[in-house]
Amino acid sequence: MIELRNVTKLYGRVIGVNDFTLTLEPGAYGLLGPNGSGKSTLLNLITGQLRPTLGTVRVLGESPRNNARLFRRMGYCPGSEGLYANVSGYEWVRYLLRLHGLSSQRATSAAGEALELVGMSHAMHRSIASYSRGMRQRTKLAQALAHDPELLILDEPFNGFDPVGRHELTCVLRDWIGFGKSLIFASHLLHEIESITQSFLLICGGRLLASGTAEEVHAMMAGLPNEVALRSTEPHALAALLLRERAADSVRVVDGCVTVATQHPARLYDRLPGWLAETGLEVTEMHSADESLQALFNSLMKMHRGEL
Amino acid sequence: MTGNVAAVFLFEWRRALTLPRMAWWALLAAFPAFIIALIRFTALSSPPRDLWAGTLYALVPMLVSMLGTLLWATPAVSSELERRSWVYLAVRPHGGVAVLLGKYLGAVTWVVSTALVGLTMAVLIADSDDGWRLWWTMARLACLACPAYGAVYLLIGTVLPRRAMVLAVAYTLIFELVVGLIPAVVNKLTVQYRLRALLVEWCDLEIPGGRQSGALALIGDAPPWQHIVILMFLTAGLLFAATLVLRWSEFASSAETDV
Amino acid sequence: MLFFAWLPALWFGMGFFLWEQAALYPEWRQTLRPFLQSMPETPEFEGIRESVRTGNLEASRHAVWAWLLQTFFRYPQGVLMVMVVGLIFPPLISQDIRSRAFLLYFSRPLTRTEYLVGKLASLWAYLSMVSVAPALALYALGVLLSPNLSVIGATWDLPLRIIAASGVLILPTTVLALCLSSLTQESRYAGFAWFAVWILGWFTYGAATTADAFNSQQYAAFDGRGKMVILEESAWTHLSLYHTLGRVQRWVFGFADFGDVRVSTLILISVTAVSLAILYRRISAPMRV
Repeated sequence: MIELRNVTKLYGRVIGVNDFTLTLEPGAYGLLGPNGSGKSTLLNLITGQLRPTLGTVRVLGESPRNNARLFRRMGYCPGSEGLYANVSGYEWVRYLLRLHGLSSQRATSAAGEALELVGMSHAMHRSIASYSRGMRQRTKLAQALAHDPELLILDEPFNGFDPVGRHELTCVLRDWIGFGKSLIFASHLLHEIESITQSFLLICGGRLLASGTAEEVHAMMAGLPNEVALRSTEPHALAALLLRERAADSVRVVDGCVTVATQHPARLYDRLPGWLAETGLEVTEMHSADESLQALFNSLMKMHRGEL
Repeated sequence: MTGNVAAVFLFEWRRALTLPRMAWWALLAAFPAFIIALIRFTALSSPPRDLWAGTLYALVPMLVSMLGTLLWATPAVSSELERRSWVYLAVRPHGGVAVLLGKYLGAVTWVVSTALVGLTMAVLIADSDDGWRLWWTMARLACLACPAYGAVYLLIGTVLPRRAMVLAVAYTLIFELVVGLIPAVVNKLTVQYRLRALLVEWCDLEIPGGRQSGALALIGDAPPWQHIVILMFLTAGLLFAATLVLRWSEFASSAETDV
Repeated sequence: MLFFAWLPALWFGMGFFLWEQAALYPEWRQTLRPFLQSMPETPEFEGIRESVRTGNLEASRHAVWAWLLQTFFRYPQGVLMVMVVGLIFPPLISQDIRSRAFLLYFSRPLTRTEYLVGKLASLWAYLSMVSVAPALALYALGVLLSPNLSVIGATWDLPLRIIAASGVLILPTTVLALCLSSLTQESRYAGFAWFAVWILGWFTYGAATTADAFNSQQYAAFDGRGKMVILEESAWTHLSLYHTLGRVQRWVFGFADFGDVRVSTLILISVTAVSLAILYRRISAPMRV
């Protein structure tokens, strides 16, 4: 579906995307990365808005640059707000459908259906200037879906949505995927992506760090030093126990919290309950610091640089 | 592609029917009439036909055509970029080119309507004996000037969208108004040269010093059809260049930079 | 732009040099002829021509220097001012309106006056680089190209007049520019309105003076006089902001009485006041989140 080969994009001296190689089969993918990681640049390359400085981009087997045929099969919802204030949502979506080459009649019906799908039928004839942020986001999504594309590309689609709206959008996108269509959607929040798809691409600093399901990514991380934080009423005794049992590479005690670095977190999780029962020590709280997204990225970056 | 261009043209015209845009339309249409009235009602006697011809030429094929196309054609791309709506258009089949040409057509028709209405009012106020001939000459010149200037400004706005308006004004001042008066080969590259030649021919104006004088370098001696053909080719060529530049250009969208 | 702003100073500097050389060496007076021909046919300039004829050029030094500086302000710097402001100002406030940046600005301890002065100051800085600085440099160049420093004694007031003329040029135009920027969210309309003000004003001035010229020919024809009569400029010429600025600058450099430029001064003050009022109203308007 999408193939990028050694794609690099430079903005002058700034690297947007760096030696990106990726092949995606039809399906749903989350593009995950912190702000400034190159997600939007990547989407601009896939949608033909930018030319790669090096490498090639292929979408559905064709170059996306100035490709009218491809644009008919693709729907894009960018992150920027670019709606005309003095027209209604319906007029705007209909106009964009006319640009797709749909007849006036088909554009009229398709616009209405798309806006109904995203929950905007009650307000579609109002001026966009009167829309809330969430309503604008729904309208943007409608214009991406209205011409029934094969591939949908969304950049931060949940921006501006309240929790109810997020849930509704999640259902729409799950249904979309259920119809056998393909989806790529970019976000900097892991849980947004996990609610839609289990396959994601991790990007940071313009590089692809990892791709696959959550389990596959965590499996990559197995064997890497993990940090686990344990809160206990007797932190020093707990630290001594872990060192005695050789369950830790290093131990740090700060303010009643024991932070353990270990290359075998699975063994720790497995044996800890037994040790606690034998010694009578109490653990009131436990979490892995590496479960945070930033920690995941940090570890992957270290892997990428060969530091791990 | 034709359907796309038509869709853009109709959409832009619908958006043009708002109070601020109609106010601009009215201002540009009324200005020639105001100036002609100013001359007519402060002059002690009826000015000669040549003075009316020169003034109407300066007002309609020059001022209204230039200003109108400057306002609507120059920011064809930059207005969408500023509004961050360009990407929505560019991901449609032939979207960028359709927007460019559709906006160009919308701008030209808007300005031609302004010019013709303004011209009609001005000629009626001037009350010249040769009013019909003046009207017909200026109407034809406006119908040639608007597409030509629209194409020039569209190209400028596509090549350098960020500073389009200032560069278009600078082009007009330096190239059309100053270079256009240099009696040399270079002035033949200007739109003004062609329009001036047609004005002299169609209005049968007297050339200072006669046809053997240096003034001939400012109007040439080519037949009118040649000037018209050259203007049409120039217009088409500039439009083609603008579409090529657009296809080559890169305009990225970024959620992070959205304010 | 800065290069083009400073380039005319060299040309006008030559004017200073030629005048001062002609004051010392009679054989240089031939070179003054093109400059004398370009001077207006008014009593002040008749005095300059007389001083050349009699060889007493020092008596007209102040007038000539003032005329050169005034012409420098009127033509190259006047046009540059329009272009420089047109390049910079359109998004200054319109972008803040579009992006609702007022919410950020005014949630801080920043008054509306400070906000406006800040925006204006950015324009003033650029305009100073194309008006005050080159004009003062031109004056300094004139002194340096003179045979001796005694010329400062006769022209010491000119730097002050330069600053005053710059104020006349900069203040109403920048306030008007910001006012136009505050009236719209789309900077292209603001930019267009700016250029339209100058272009339409110029056309109006041209039409009014065309009618005046035609009338003066008619007067001459009626009275049987061969020479064209110079009539008072029509009131319609005040619609041209460029020429209104020029009139007041003429007074600043001593070529007109205040009575002659009262209306023009009033127009500039009104433009400034009305523009400021609109500006304050626009940036104080309720902001939709």
